[in-house]
Amino acid sequence: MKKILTLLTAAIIGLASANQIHAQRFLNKLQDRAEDKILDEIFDEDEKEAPPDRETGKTSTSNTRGEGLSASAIDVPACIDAASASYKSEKYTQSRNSVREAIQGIELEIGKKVLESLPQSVNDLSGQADADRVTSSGINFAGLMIEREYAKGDQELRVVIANNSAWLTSVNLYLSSGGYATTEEQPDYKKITFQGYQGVIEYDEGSGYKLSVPFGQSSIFVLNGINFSNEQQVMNAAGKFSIDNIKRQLGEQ
Amino acid sequence: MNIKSLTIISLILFLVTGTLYPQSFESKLSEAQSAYKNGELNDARMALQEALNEVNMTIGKEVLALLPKTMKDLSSDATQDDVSGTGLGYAGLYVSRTYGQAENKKSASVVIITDSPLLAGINSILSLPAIMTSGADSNQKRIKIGTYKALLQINEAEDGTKNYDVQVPFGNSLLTFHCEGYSEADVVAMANTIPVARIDEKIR
Repeated sequence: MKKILTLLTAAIIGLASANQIHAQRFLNKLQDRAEDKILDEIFDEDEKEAPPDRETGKTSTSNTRGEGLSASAIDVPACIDAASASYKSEKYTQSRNSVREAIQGIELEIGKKVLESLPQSVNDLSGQADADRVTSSGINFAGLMIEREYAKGDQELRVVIANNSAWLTSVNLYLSSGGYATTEEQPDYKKITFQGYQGVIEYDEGSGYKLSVPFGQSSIFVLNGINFSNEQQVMNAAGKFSIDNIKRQLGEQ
Repeated sequence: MNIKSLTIISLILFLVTGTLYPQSFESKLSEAQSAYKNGELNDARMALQEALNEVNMTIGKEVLALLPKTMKDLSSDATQDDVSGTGLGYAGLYVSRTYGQAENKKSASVVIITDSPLLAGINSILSLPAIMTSGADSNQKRIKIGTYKALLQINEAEDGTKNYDVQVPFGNSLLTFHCEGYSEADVVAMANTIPVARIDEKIR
């Protein structure tokens, strides 16, 4: 009896284990199939989405036509009249916007005049007319920015003239602090005098030479020389520009 | 001098000063128009910048009228109100009102600046919640003032007391509410008495 019971117990345990193992295998298969189904669903959805559908607006076509936006000059007198009319109607925000637009228009005209007064070429480098830029935000601390580039081969000269700009702060801070002198054989930052104005010249292996000269009450002349052989060459190129002339154009004192 | 004469003189003075302000704006515009037509671009620009200051001050006074006169138990002092900002050398729209006295260790102030260079930094913090730290030791929190997202900055003074700055960007303007001598909950409640939506509508 005891033996039969023991055998029965062992058989039951064996069967149960077998069932468990079988069940586990069954569960694993179910899990695998479920995972496969999920993966199929994912990849099937991707395959369904692949073809571009123009009707729904999903397109991978790139733009090849268009004249861009039309440039329109700011009508300064009209802006001034609009500012006056808005102010009389107590629409002060509109009046302010019109005044700012008028300021932008005037600054753009001033900027263009400054650009016209800059040299067309500097030594062997030719001016890149399509890179000429005048930017005015009408916001005092951001100010007026005038840019021109000159290039030949891998040499490039970039000139930026900023008026009413926050750029001045860091340069003037350096200049007013007395600068610093270094015993390094090759300093990367030093104070100089350029056309009677105190300025700073920097050198960086990655970006080349940079001359910064504040002038007037709120303007700065910045000249970037890329792939110039030495400081003398850069200063020679800088000498083709007249700070006094630019100052006059900007109405600086 | 009798009362009647004084009254007449006062009325005349009132009428004159009452019209000086818009005349100043109009005269600057006329000056700018005339200089521009004569090709004097720098003179025209300068006149317009002065006109811009005038209209900014006009808008500033309207914004001041929207600000609460009291904050909790603090009263504002009309003589301290500022809509020029010329003391800071900043020529945009600038409005400032203070409440209470700083020497009483309980005070508050509201400053509104348009075209502020600080805007970019604050907007980037408000738009990137991932960089905001959470927990009791965080000194910056993103909160709401009305329906506007704002940044609460908790500062600790040398004596261990805390003061708070609530900065609310809207459009191209920045409103900064500074408060000392109150709890964080009080500061947020006080900031919520500022009608930011109406100020936004006035300035935009």
